[in-house]
Parts: sequence; structure tokens; C-alpha cells
Amino acid sequence: MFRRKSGSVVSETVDQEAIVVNLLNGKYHRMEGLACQLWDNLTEPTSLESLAQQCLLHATPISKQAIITFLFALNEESLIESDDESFFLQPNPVCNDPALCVESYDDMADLLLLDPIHDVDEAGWPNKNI
Amino acid sequence: MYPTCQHDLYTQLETGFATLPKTYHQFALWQLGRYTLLLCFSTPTIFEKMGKSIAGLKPIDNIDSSWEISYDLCIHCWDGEGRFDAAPTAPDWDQYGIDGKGIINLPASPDVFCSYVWGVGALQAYCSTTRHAYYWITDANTIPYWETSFPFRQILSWFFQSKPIQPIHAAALAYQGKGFLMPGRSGSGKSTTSLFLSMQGYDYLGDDYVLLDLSSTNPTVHALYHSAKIDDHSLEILPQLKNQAYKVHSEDPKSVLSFPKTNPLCSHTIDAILLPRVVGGKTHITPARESDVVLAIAPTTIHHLNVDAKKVLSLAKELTIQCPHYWLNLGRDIDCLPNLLHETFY
Repeated sequence: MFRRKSGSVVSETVDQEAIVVNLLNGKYHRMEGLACQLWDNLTEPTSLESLAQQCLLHATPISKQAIITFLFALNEESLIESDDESFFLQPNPVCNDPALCVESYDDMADLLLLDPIHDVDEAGWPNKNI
Repeated sequence: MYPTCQHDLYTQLETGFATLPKTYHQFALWQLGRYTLLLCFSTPTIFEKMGKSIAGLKPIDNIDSSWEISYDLCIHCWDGEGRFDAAPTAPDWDQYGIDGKGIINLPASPDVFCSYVWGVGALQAYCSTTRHAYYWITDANTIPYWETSFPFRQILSWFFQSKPIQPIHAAALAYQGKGFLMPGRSGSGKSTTSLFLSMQGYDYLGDDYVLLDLSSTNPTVHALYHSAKIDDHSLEILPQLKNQAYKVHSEDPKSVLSFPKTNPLCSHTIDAILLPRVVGGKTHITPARESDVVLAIAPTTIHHLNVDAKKVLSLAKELTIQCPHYWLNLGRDIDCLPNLLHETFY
């Protein structure tokens, strides 16, 4: 079963697009359409089969490898967790489907990860020591 | 005695300041929508540093010993000038640790919020039960420009935490009955656009932080500060502002602009959301997605302030439902902006 990480990940869906913020690493993400639907499903523990079932309603066929690749992408961004610890140890099938795209932004990440003692100048956080 | 939790820390501050001579240098009222804030400054220096950027701040001459004045939040602002030996003993920061955002690693209390302001050396604390907050710094002369330009924004976030009101990272302007909210990441053109339009007769409500208020029928924005920060590149685009801009310290990367304290406009309804982005070519307006608005507001607000991220996302979403939203695609022809806005919205 797969589910969103709680505590460190917050999300809001607007007009079939999900905005997801990872509070630990400062990165944020956008998913739309089918990717947003699957992400919404992951609010509760969800199986791979259930996600595949959701994809049957999509206009174009979505392979199971594409769904797994999508889960790998979410896991790589520390957005989800799995009951099966070995799931993400298998090779990533790397089957990218444009319907399951995850847009990621890391422009805030640098700010969040500054070591305040060593990485900031006299002006202090959030001014990086250039 | 070191505090064992954040509530302890707050109580130590409260107790410590209660022992000091009750001789505040200056009191002032700050009206934010229907909320009244009472600010109490201990010395002329800290009043000058932390008070001058606040929009609509009204100094008041005297408060009698009974402090019978109605307020929703009282912020006590102290520096160590002449009174450091009487100030509360600072906790051992190394023992407790402070993370990168200033969160003090003491057990949390449900009604108390404390943080340390890196680079400023200030301690701030707020209690939602007493509705009192403390901002304490040892030397007000060292407060950097980015703190004096936008003071107390963390305390405001704590105060409004349970309300559909939130300081957000955005610019705001109004003109002839229409209000525009302009959220955007640093470098999006937000400040340059808002400063340019203010020179064209638009009422300036803020260029970096404003107060978003969704508590009433129409989304409203309240001005928080009448200062702006501008970098050297933007000053080249707007040379008319060079005479007004100044650097607090000569090495500061940005200059500060102050707008007249008698700015009459402190609030306005939001009639449209404009997302600035520099694209080159000809300046034009195109529709924006709701997710574009949320992305423009939420990440920078969440990461600049220690706020409830879920609340910020939720408010941003609600705002997009209530207000039309557009990309403001900025070219080099900034002079056409007033006409473009007039054609589109009037």
C-alpha cells in the first residue's frame, strides 16, 4: 500500500491540479489531470492495483510500468511511503507517461537548507553567504 | 533557570519585562482591518528602526498606568539600550538549539510561539491567551534593512493563525476603485511593477508583504508596510526613485524606499490577481491557471514565514476561486502598463 507522507508534506488541489509542498526539503510540485487524481487517491493507503483501476478511466491506456515510474518519482521526492520496504528497491522501470508528469520546483530549497551558522553572511538568513 | 518549554520561555520574558521600569518611549496604534494592535517601543532607537515602515502607524502620547486602551494584540518591543542588565537572562541557545528558521527546540505549547531571528539577534514570542507579544533585541542599531522594512511579520502570522487572514508574500495596488494583488517570486518583476505603477498614481499597498483577509464577503488586502526594497537593477529601470532610495548599511544589496506616512489607503478589496513575469517583447496580459496563483503565493510565504503551510495553501486556493487571475507578461515597454490595465479592467 502507498500513501502520502504526513507531517512533512502538505497539499492542496485546485481545479484538478495538485500543489504539493515538501516542508523538509523546500521543494514544491505540481501535478495535473490523471497524476492529480492518483495523488488525491494517495490521501488514504492505496494499492498499486487500485491506482491501475483508476487509470482505466483515462482516455489513453496507462501501463502499469508508468504507474510504478510515477510512484518512484513521488518516492524520490519523499512525498510518499510504502508498507512494502522492498518495493522501491526494485529497478525503476523508467516508463514516463506525460499523463503522469510531476513538475518540480526547487528555488525555495536552497533557502530552507541553509546552515544558519556557516552559510549566511552578516545579514543573516535568508541571505546566503555569497 | 533555563526554560523547559516554550511556555516557560514566554513566561520568563513576560516576568522579566514586568520588572523593568514601565517607561516606554513611544506607544502607537496599528490598525489592520478590524484588528487593533498596540505597539510599545522602549527606546527612540527601536521606535525609529521598527516603527517607521509600518503603514498607518499612529503614535499616541500617553497611556495611563491602568493601560485602559482597547486592543487585540499588544507588541512589546525592547532593545538593550541602557537596560540590558535588567533584561531577562537569555536562555542557553547552544543547549536547546535553533533550527535554520529560528524555531527554538523546546517542547511546544499550544498557545505560545517563540522564535529567534537569525542575523538580527532578536527573540520574539507570542501568547494567544494573553494576546501579548515580545520582540527583544540587544542592540537595535544592528537590525538589518530587511528586518526594519518588514517588522513583526512573524508575530502577525502567529496572531492571525486561527483566522482566515494571513500575511503573504505579494505586492498590492489600487486605482480608481479596483484593487490588484500581485504575488510572485523574488525576481518576477513584482516590486518594479508596483513601484512603477505607484509613480503613475496607483495607491501603493505594499511590494513584498501584505495582509490577505478572507474573513469578509469580498477578499481584501491590507497594507502592512509603506516601505519597499529595490535593487540596483530596478533603480536603473526607475531612475526617478534614485533620490528617494537609501541603503541602511552601505554594503546592503538593496536600497529602501519609504512612502509617505500619510498614505490614506490602508485596505482595498481585491478585484484581480496579476502574476508578474518578465518575458521580454511586448507587455501583455493572459489568463492564468488557479494553480499558477497558488504557486505564486504559497511557497515563498511558507518559507519566508514560519506559518501553517496547509492554511496558506487553503487560503490561496480560496482566493483564486473568488478573484479572476492573470499573467502580467512584462516586456521592456513598462510605460504601456497603465494603459494596458485600463483597457483590460476598466
